Amino acid sequence: MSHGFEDQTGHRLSVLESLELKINPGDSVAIVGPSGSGKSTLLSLLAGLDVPGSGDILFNGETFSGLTEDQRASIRRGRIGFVFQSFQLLQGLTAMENVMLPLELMGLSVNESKKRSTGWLDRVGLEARIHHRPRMLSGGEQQRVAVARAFVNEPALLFADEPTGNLDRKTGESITELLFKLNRETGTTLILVTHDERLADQCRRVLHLEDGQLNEVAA
Amino acid sequence: MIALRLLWREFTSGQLTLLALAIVVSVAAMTTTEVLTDRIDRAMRADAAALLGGDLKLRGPRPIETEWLAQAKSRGVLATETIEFPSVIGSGSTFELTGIKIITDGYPLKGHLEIADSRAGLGYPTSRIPDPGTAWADPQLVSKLDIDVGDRVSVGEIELEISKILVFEPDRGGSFVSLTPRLLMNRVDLESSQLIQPGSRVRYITLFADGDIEGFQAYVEPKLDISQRLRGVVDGRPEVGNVLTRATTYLSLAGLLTVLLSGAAIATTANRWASDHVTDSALFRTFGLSGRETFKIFATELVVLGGVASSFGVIIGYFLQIVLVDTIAGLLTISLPEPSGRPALLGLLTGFVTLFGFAAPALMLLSNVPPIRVFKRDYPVAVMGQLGRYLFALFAVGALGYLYSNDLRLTGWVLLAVIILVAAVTLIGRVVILGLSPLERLGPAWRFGIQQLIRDPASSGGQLMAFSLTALAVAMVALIRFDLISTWETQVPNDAPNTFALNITDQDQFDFIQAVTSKGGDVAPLYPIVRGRLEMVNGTPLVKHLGGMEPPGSVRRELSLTESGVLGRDNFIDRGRFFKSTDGPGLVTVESKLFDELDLEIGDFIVYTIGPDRVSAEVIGTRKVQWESMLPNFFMIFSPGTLAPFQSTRLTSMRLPNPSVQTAEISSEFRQVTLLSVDAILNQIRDILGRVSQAVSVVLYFVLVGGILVLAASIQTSLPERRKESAILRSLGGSDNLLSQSQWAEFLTLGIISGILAALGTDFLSWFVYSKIFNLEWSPKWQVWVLAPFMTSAIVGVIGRWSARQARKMPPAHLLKIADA
Repeated sequence: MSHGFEDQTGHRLSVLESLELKINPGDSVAIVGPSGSGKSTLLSLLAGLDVPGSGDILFNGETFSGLTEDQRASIRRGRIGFVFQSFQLLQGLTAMENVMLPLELMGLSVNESKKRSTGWLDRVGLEARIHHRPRMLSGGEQQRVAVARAFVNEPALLFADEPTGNLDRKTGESITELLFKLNRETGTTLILVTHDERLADQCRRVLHLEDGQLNEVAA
Repeated sequence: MIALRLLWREFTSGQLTLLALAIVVSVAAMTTTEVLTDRIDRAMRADAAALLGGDLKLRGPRPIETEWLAQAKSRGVLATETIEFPSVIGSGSTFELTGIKIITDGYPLKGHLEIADSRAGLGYPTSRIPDPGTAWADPQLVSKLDIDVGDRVSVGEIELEISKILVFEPDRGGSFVSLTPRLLMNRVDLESSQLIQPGSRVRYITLFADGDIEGFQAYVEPKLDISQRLRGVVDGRPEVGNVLTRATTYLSLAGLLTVLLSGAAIATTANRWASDHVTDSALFRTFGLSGRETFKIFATELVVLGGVASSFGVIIGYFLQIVLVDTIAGLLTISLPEPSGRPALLGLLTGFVTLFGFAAPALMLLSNVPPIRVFKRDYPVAVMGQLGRYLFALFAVGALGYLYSNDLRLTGWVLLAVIILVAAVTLIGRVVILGLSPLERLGPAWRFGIQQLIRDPASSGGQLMAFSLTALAVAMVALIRFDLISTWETQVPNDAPNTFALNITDQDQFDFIQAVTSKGGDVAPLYPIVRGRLEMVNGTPLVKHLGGMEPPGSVRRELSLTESGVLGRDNFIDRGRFFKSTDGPGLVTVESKLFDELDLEIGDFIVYTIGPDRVSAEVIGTRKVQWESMLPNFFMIFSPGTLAPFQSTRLTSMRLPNPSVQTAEISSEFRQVTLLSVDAILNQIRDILGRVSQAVSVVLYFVLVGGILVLAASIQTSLPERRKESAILRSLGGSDNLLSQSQWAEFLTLGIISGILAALGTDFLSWFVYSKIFNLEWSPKWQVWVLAPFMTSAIVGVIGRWSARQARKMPPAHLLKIADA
């Protein structure tokens, strides 16, 4: 697949050129590369949040190409989870309500959603803070809530965009540890974008993206 | 259901407080204004109805159709019939041509009669009518016949005892043409008196009131023939009709501007709500929700929030107006009718329409946020263009404005003024904001304050818009209130004449003036009166000239004509010119409205028949006449000399210090002179003017309070950014004093610019409203240009600093955390 976009002057910029990539269930893949190399763009294409300029992306044999945003959304529903660099928690909701959100949107009852969310908040070590709103939590705690939210509907595939990018080293390490522990326990496929070498080193595969080219540096 | 849960969670977290508050405040403000203006309007109309004797008056040459009475009854409309005709009344050897009025129980439906127990007695209100076998005579009649209470008079075939003196009769002709003396008698005595004979000039007048009066009017109007005339409060009493129309328009305008104020508040907060939810919406899409599902969640949130907040607004609005009415009860002498349900419905509708009018573009934006926004904050989101958003909002305000004012023209012009103001704020405002940089040299506080404005011109522009629209609304309502009241004060001044005098002969006129002045009275000019009937226009008979249409009532009968070389101080030439000293006879000026009704042109020739003779004159100008001045006024004034060949008597009006006693004295001295006291009517009109003025002032104060609330709300919406700025400045070592001063600098500057822009808008809008809607003379007011910037900057400065103090007082660490969230 290839992908690019036009800049303000109408000049076409190529971001990804003739990439080929296959990720197997249960894999953990790190995408690394310099800033502006297109890591987040690749991640959003893989997650079906955008479609490539040419080529195709298949998820469990289903193609993303030619589908509308709403059709891609229905493929994502319940099967894909996200962890973001800036956490992306809803400020008006408590930690538990944030974690409940994907379950409720899938149509689960409030009680069932509460039960599962509490369990996941327990697993990320936030049992004492379930009724706190994001602004009352530290950065690390907010990212734990985001991790719990990403895993709560037990997705087949989890995308993480710089999950430790906004955290100090120690907190970053604990989040990394948590991510991989849950990845192992649930068998989720993990694809993450990072600058953090130690985080990348923990993945089974490391892909380096630069000048539109993707190279496998470790496996 | 997820939408409701999200709404509840967001609400309990305080995220929706501002938007909810804006809706509650706006709907409460609108409901209060609407309930109050609705009640004041109905009270004013009820007051004025007292001058008509009912809400509607039907006049015709025969009794009213029984079917119409049945219709009135079925609509809950009260009705009472009176019969009027001229007849000669005798006492001993004296006879007098008298206007007889036959009434039944229940008359009048609105207002009341005033009677006195003797000729010199004081008048008091009564709800009774003369008993059978008795009659009430007015002071003129008792003076002419030289009788008093207890005396008997012959009326047709019977004799009636004068049991009271009739001091005031609410529905007596408004134009003071009913100059004949009056006798009021009971319907029971009509038949035995045999007063009505074939060929008698009888007028049947039916008064209607209450119930579904509008529905009844709509039913009757198309059924009227040309001999019948239906009049309401406004057209039935021109002296108060003008005042009522203006006051009602004022109240409509105040309602319309409140809609505008509320729109500004809701727009600001709704935009903030939408921008707060852009990332949330993208997040929902990553969870796998479709655009439609996302839209449904946010739309449900907005509908429920709008419904609940509007309902609260309506309840608070009703409560507020009760408090307001209680507070002003001492001030306001109008007894207000119970509030109706209409404003509640209107309030609810307003909440929704305003919310959706201003939030719909934001809502559409939320359903279209691409999920990739969660990764890239700068990823473009397809938003409705600025123009589209303004059109949407304008449509909402327009629809509501019309709903509130029921006046398409007024709404249209207010909207045009708003468009101009919005364009001016967008263009001038931004240029001015960017041109503020030199102010930064005034010191560090000014630098930070001004930078705050320059850094985000879109946000400053938004605030500028809200502030200037608010200032415009308040300035308009204030300006018109002051001008209306001063116009009303001059309309019926305290020294307005209270007595009309007719039939003054040429030889008596100087003695008469002397007699009045010796009693401390003040006499208006004396006008010669000749009675004549309009016959032809440009050589064509009148009916033919009007294309077969029935001529207006005032020219169907004989009219009092006069000549004068001096234009009365309550007359204004609006087309053509008045007479010059060099003009000879044969010219005429016509009252403006009649001129139009007669389809005349300047330069037309009209012919009047006066007795066996004819007089022809060229129309050279039209006069706007202030009928309510109580000075002698005429539909036709001829140039001096035109009426000289005809025999005339003179008419004038005068102010007597003690009219009830002095009219009797003058009347006995000049027996042929007819005196008509209008003191009671004058007092009643003055009373109505006073009350309407108070009502108008109350509405102004209310709009002012509403305006301040809106300012506070729009400043509140900018608090999150302010907190962040304050946190950064303080973490970098900025003192509280510096922050405080920079906020002063920022808000004062915003206030001054908003005030200047509002003055510009006010000048434009008031020019239109004065000249086209209120018929008031317009001149630019320097006070607006001084007061609007001064008041706006003072109010914005104080509220702004007060609201933003929270941002200053918090510890920087805490602030940074909130700001980052």
